[in-house]
Amino acid sequence: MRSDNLLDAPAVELAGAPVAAPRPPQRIAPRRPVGRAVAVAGLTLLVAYAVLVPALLPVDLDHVDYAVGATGPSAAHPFGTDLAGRDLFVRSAHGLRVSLLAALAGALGAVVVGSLAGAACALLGGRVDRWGMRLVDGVNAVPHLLLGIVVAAALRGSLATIVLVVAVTHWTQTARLVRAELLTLGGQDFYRAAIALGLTRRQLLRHHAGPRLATQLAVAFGLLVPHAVWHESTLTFLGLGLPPHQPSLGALLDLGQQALLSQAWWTLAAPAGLLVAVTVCLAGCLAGREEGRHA
Amino acid sequence: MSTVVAGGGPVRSALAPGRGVAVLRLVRRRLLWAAPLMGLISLAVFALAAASPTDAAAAFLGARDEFTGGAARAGVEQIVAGTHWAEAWWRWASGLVGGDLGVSTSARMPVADVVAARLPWTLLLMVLGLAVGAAAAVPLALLAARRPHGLLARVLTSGLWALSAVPSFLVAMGLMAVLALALGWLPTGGLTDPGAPVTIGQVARHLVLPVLSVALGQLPWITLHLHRAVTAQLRSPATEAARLRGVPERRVLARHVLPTAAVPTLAIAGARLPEVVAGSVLVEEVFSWPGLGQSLVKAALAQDFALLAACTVLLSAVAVLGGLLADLCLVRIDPRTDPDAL
Repeated sequence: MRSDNLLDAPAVELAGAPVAAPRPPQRIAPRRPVGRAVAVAGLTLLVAYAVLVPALLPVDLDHVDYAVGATGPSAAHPFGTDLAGRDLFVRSAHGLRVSLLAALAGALGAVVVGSLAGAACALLGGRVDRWGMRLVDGVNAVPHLLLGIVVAAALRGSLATIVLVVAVTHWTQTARLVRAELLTLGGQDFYRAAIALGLTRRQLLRHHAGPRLATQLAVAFGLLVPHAVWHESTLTFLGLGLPPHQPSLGALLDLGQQALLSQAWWTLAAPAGLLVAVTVCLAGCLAGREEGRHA
Repeated sequence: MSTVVAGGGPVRSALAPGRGVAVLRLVRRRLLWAAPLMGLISLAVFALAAASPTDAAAAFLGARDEFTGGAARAGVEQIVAGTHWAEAWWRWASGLVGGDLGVSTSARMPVADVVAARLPWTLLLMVLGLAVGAAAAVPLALLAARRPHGLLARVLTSGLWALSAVPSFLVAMGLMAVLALALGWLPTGGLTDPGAPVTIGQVARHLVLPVLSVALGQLPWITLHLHRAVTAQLRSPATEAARLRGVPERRVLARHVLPTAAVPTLAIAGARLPEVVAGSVLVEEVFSWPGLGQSLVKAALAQDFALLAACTVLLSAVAVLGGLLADLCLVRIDPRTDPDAL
């Protein structure tokens, strides 16, 4: 490949010139996975679809019309209709809205719980810190989906359960982050100087700890949203999440899988396409920040 | 291992004196950590069952609820209400020691029988899926690393990166829609054709799509990490020196590049194993594969907490023990790893 390079290098070095130029750093994620601009534009479009369509086309979601049941995509029904004749264009918009709401609330819950736990570990230290971090390790060692299934089995599916499941399984990353950030901050000279100058706790939080944590937490929140979407759709798909009459991406996918056997591929394609588009766009907006984890 | 091959791989000093003891210490430490963790998980299942707003007596009776009326039902309700969840857990845990896992109300047989019948199929699916994913990742990573900024590498990394964002049950359904329903090449699910005996040929045919789904879920992260490591290793002075000595390219790849490049991938494999377990639960559900993941979902739907506790603990144990196995491989392959620090 580039074996000549090795022969040249010592000669150059003897001449006192700098050794071969440093090689560009290698990345694991492609430089522009989808292109951040495309991802942001796609996400805007999806959110607009989820917000505007239910608002502008007020249809009775439970209206069943078997006369137009299981018809493919057409001008009247861009995404086709399901086996019961319900329009999938409107239903998918509702589903996307519900899923996004559940995901945002779940991610927010996880970040809040994680921040409190991380701050408690860092500030109280000692035994709280030791046991807190052991708990974090323990939760991380268990597949998140298993924890989610157990919680959903006991508490039965509802929006609150989904939010709780996401918060219970995903608080650990934020807790680690906040704890590490606070511990680093506490050891730094400017922060100790600020304490020595007699700043109150409120001032310390507002001027030093707050701004540093805010950006980190924003990224953590953004990375959690796609996972939360995934959790909602997975649990609902398994029959443990939101109730089946409430259109969410998971519920639509479940119906789609049943309809797949009767050749109505569009009933699966519409929610599946939306789910893939949302997760890819969300991940694309934050590409390069960190590798995600699905379980 | 005293034979020193010229420029030999990192296997050379993997069994240095004292290292075996350190490995044993690692195994003991991990097992001592895993045991209370499993206890805690089962405790959490029992506590959640007690916090559940649904009728505990109905959950206890399961399908028998329909035929249990009057005084018998009142008696059951009294017993269920009079048992604290911690006491119920203690009974379950002491039964566990004697091999008694309780009776599943959804499967209508002892939990131990359900586990014995299903755990092997789950392990088969997971191990094969992971193996196929890893085996496919090696040539892909090598291919992409040849020209790290070439068209092929860019298309491959973008494609894999997008694939990693797709939920695994969608991948499974997509495979089923195309390969099973549209083309009709493979069966849509189950262990065998309906009524057919369990033979190797039957199972192999039904195994293809589930294994492919699990493998596709794991392919992206293995390939992306391996690609990065191989790219760096292919241009390292050690590799270039081996080429200069005239070591054949095939041997350079097999002995000098791949073992070293596998180290970072193996190092994070332990953290990724819970994902493999979660992925296989979904794949089992989509393809009606008779494994533990499927009965976990069934137990959750039917509020069958005896089976739910057993499935949760066992699947978590698979993830934790798999992580230990990955770390042991790491110790074996990379002499720089300190077993005491893992």
